[in-house]
Amino acid sequence: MTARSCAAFAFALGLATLPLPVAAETLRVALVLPGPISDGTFNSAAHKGIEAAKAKYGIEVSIRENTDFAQITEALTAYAREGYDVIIGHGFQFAEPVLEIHADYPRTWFIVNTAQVSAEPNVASFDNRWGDAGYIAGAVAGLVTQKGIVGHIGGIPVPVIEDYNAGFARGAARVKPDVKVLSAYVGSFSDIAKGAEITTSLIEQGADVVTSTGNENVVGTIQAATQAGVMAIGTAFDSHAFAPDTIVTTALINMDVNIDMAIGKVIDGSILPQAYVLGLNENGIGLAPFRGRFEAMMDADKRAVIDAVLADVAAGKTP
Amino acid sequence: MDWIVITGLLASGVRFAMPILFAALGETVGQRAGVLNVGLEGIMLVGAFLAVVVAMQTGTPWGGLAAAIAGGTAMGLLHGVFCVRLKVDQIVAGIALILLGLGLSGFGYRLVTAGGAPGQVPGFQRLNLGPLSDLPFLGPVLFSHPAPVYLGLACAVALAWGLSRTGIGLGIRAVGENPKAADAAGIDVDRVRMAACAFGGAMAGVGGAFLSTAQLAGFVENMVSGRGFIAIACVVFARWNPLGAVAVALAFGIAEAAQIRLQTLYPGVPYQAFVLLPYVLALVGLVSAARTVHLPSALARPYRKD
Repeated sequence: MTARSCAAFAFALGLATLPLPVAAETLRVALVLPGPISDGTFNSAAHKGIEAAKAKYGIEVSIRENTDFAQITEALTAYAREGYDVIIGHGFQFAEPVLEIHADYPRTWFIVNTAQVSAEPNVASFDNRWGDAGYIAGAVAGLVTQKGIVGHIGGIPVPVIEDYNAGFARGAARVKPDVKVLSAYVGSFSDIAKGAEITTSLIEQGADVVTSTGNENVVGTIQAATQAGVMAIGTAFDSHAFAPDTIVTTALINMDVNIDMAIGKVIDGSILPQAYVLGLNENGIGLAPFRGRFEAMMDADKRAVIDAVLADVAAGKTP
Repeated sequence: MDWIVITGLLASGVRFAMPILFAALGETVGQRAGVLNVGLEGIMLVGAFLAVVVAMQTGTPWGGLAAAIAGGTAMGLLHGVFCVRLKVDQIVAGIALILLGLGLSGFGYRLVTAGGAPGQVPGFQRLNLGPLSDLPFLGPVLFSHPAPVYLGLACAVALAWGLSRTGIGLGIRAVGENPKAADAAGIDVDRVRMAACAFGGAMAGVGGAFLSTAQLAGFVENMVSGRGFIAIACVVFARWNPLGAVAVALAFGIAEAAQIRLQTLYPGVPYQAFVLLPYVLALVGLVSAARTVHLPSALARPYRKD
């Protein structure tokens, strides 16, 4: 035996006696995202949630970004085959592929975020009350508008965005019955230029408070509102720092709470194959504080209206 | 529709048209020289990304514009190395550029922002030309745009003149029509084509910079959203004429601005019908142009000396 092969043998022996990485003990969680984690809203929220859960529960996390609809099934099965304990699909479009494959991987929990589906034995979903968030945003918009015209700009009319849109109109009408609510869709989640131009067109039609749902297109709305000097209401992610003089407040949709709750429930074994819907009471949605010049704008009367709206939303009494 | 809506529509149409126009002008020169670059989308993304990052670093959008030109030129030259020097299939090389641009800009942006929120981007402001900008209707439509809009229009005029009236223009057209004859006349075909590639890349970079620092002020991944492809359609629709490209880009931009406004005017019609409108226009244009069109004869054909 030469010196070199001797050394190689000793090295191999050393490796063999080292303890194996303890894979079985740590929960392995895969998060499959439709867009990039840097979008500043829908996907960023999920990323923030999984990072927090990683620190809180000491889990092993794998993230896959920019997953096209056509790639979803393949991405899910790849993780399931690797034996991941929890696979989270972030978006309603994951529901169908999950229902197709879940029975083949009974040891894995499939979680669909922002959808309402479930299947025995291993599919659960977590959704937020987007309609309620829209309702709250609408009420705020109705309170602060001076011209009585408000607008919502959606990315693509997927169910949660349509819920928000409908809620926004009802919320605005509740506090200001003669309000005019404009609504338009970008037809894309990533085209921020079009998002900005659509917002500009609504502002030209008289809207002085705008809100937007989607992914990156939301950035376009906030920029257009800032440039035109009108007010905007953020959605999902607290966007105050982005444009402090423009963002009245944010109708929070705490998608990170969904992820935390899903992983917590898997860990303590309390998860059931059902659709969990998180509203104001479960901290699934919320309202960010009024800051800067908007703190002064919200006088006692307006705050009383907002408190009444929030109380009704919490009680499930939104017409 | 009242005047305010129409004024807003035309002004918005100009803003929509500009990124497409810049890329289309560069591509016109490239295609006239016989090099097809389907990778404009990727170059525009890199331009948009560099413009934002360097504008933030230098504090001026002009710094960003310069960086976008440099980055676009580099990517154009890369396309040239593959297509002109190595004689690779031009479509394949172009598709590689799209993916490269998508990856570079997305990854680079994350490196720079490190996941945090980006700061304020100093974008191009809309010019205030005094009494001209205050004119009713004409002011907002013609005289209240950011400076690069006027540079783009000047560029189109200069290119139209340069391609048809100068020796350099003749050389460019010669290597695109009949490279063998051009070679015999003493023109270095590959060199002219490399220069055309570099110019095309630089202009696509400017188009991206316009999107991220003049129309908007910020970058997001994949923000070009297909405008690079529309630019290629624009070149063909305009029959390789720079002034035609202005008209086509404006038509497309105004159609885009119109569909946005029609959506809110007719809430009963599914919004997809309106979103389709500009693309239908592009298709109709291509089909109607297809019959009478005269392609540069050596387009997408590498030139090999015998």
